[in-house]
Amino acid sequence: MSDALPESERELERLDEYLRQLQAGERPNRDELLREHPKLARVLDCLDGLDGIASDLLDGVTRPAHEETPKLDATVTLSSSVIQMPSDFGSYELLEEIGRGGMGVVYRARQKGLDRTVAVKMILAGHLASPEHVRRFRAEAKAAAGLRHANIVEIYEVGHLQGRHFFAMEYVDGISLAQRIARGPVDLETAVRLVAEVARAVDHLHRQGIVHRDLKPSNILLDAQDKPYVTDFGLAKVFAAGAEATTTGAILGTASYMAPEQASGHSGDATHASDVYSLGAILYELLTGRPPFRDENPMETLIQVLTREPVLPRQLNRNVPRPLEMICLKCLSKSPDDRYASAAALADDLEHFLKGETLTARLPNLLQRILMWSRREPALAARLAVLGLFFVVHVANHALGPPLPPGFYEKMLIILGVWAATAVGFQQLLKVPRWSLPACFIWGALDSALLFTVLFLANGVASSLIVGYPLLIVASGLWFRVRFVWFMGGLSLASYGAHVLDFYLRRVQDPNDLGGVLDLRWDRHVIFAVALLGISGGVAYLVHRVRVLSSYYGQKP
Amino acid sequence: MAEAERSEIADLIRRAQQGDAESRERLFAMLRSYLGFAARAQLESWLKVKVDASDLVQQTLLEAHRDFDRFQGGSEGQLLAWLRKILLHNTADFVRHYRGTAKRQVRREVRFGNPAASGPLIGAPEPAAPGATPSQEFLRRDNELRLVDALEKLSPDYQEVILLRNLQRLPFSEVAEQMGRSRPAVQMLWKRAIDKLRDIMEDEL
Repeated sequence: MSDALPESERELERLDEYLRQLQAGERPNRDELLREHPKLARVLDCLDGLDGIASDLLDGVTRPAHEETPKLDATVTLSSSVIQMPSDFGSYELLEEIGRGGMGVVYRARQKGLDRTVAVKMILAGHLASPEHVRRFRAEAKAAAGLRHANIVEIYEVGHLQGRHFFAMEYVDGISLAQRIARGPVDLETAVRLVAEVARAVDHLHRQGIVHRDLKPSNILLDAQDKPYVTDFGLAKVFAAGAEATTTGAILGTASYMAPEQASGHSGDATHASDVYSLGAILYELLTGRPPFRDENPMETLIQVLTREPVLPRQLNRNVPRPLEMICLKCLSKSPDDRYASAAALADDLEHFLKGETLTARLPNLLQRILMWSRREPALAARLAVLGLFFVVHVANHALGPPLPPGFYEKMLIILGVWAATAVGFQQLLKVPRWSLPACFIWGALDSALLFTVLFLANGVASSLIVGYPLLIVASGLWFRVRFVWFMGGLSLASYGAHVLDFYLRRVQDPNDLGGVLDLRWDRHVIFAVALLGISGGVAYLVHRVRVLSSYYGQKP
Repeated sequence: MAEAERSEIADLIRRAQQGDAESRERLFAMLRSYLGFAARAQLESWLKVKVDASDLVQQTLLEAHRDFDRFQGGSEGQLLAWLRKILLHNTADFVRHYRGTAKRQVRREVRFGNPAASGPLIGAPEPAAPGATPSQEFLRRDNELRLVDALEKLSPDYQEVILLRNLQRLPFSEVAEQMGRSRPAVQMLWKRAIDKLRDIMEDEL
């Protein structure tokens, strides 16, 4: 096997030389080559055949002399060059490029006959792979072309010219909402008015049977009077199917504004309620300056969209009135049924708010609120739930069970109280970006220390509470940091070791201690320690795998 | 086998000329593959840029369909030469248009002092193939469509490397640059591509 590589390298060298001679118009010595490498006969046939094709294609015509060819940047691709400035494009004269997106290039253009300024969007080649896609694109675009609404960019023409699919639409002289947000805060009243107008326009789309599917600030244009225009509707579906290679990237790229049911990959499930969600996400960004979920890693964004609740707008911007926060969060409900029934209902409520009238949105009931809170603060909620359960068991045990050692009941209550209080404190600290990483480690260490204290006061290794350690390790996996998992694993192992020492050195000698009645064999401790190690390793590996996947999908498209 | 293959395609041509719709369809499916590679190879070597030639292929196929009745030849070689003539004509239009727009776009003075600047593209449509030896001539005449058919079955990477190295005759250094990979990587890719191509050709024998 060791000479397999050199063999294939030698072959490569021979073939390379053969092809070079063939292409230079020399006559390579085929027979000599075959004597040395008899297997190559068929390969040489292929090379000959290919070069035959090449000579038909290339030698039949003289290449233009070099100076006659305008020098072009090697990175320019023809498809986009032709698109870049055909200047004269059917009945349009293209004036300048005003935008470039995933699926095409947008130009400001003059429509010759009518002498009006329009925007022409040309679809980049490759985005409509098959005749089926072309058909769907045209069907969607035609459906969109029939729409008229003051806040919708009107589509004038859908066509195919000079090998390009394009559509001509109303030209809006202004900026996109995304650019507007980037410039600085939008005042509250303007924000509400904008979203209400956009919601009315989206409702109009819905009435015509069109789901936008890709509502986001960059798809909303603002003219000089801050009047919003919705654009790019209905086409997301066609292109998601058309460019399969970029689908993942495309979905992840805009996940910040995407409803959970859409982000989970069932983009076919997008309904009116999905658009309502996106409107809520836009409102959220206008109120707080950031979309509800945004992480540097698109996959993390996706996971947050699917499983977490956004930070309350009022925590990010104190000036947001409660009713407005309520409207916004209603749109962002995970379940489509909990959102506004229509974009019009959202617009109504926003208008009610502007006029100071009663809203149709109601505060969610207590159970819903607890659920939402736990999705917003999962780390704290989980700790408090476990502590609460422990508290109940402890109180019941005190009331109903055999008498506990003096002072034990009170000490435990104090520790539980301290534990809950620190949990609340750390949850706040986690929200400070600079502190979030150290806080996570300190919090973990504190959990481990408090568990140690509880066990120390109770029966040590003999207590069933010892399962708290594996629990801590498994929970540490939820931070998705391999190091943190090993950190908690190490702490748990060290604490367990300390309990074992405490058991053999102190409790065994003390006839009053419950530990004294336990069996003294040491093998169970080894088994427990190995199990702790195994759990840490398993969780760490799982986290590692998720991170690998996440960085794979997180690549920028 | 080459003999059988040759007559098979000649048969296909004959039946298509006699108006058998199914044969015509099969023939044009093969021609489409051929044109796909041909158009890219020609355009890219002339323009020195990466090209999406699908529109050119489409246009050429349409015209070939329309004018098929006027094709008098009977062999694969004649059919491909005829097809290339149509392609060439369209390519010339395309290149002229492209040069025009590129000129405007770059806003650079480009001297077309010679009125026949794009002339060579229109002239000499018949293949000259100066370097072809008789044995190559033989191989090529009966193998082009089959070879292209096999080429079509390769993965996109393999197709790309063969297109650049064999059909456009670019040296490996340029292939590497265009594909954004290292030269040794591209060479290994090419070797594997050629081996795979041979396998497919052999399987079909």
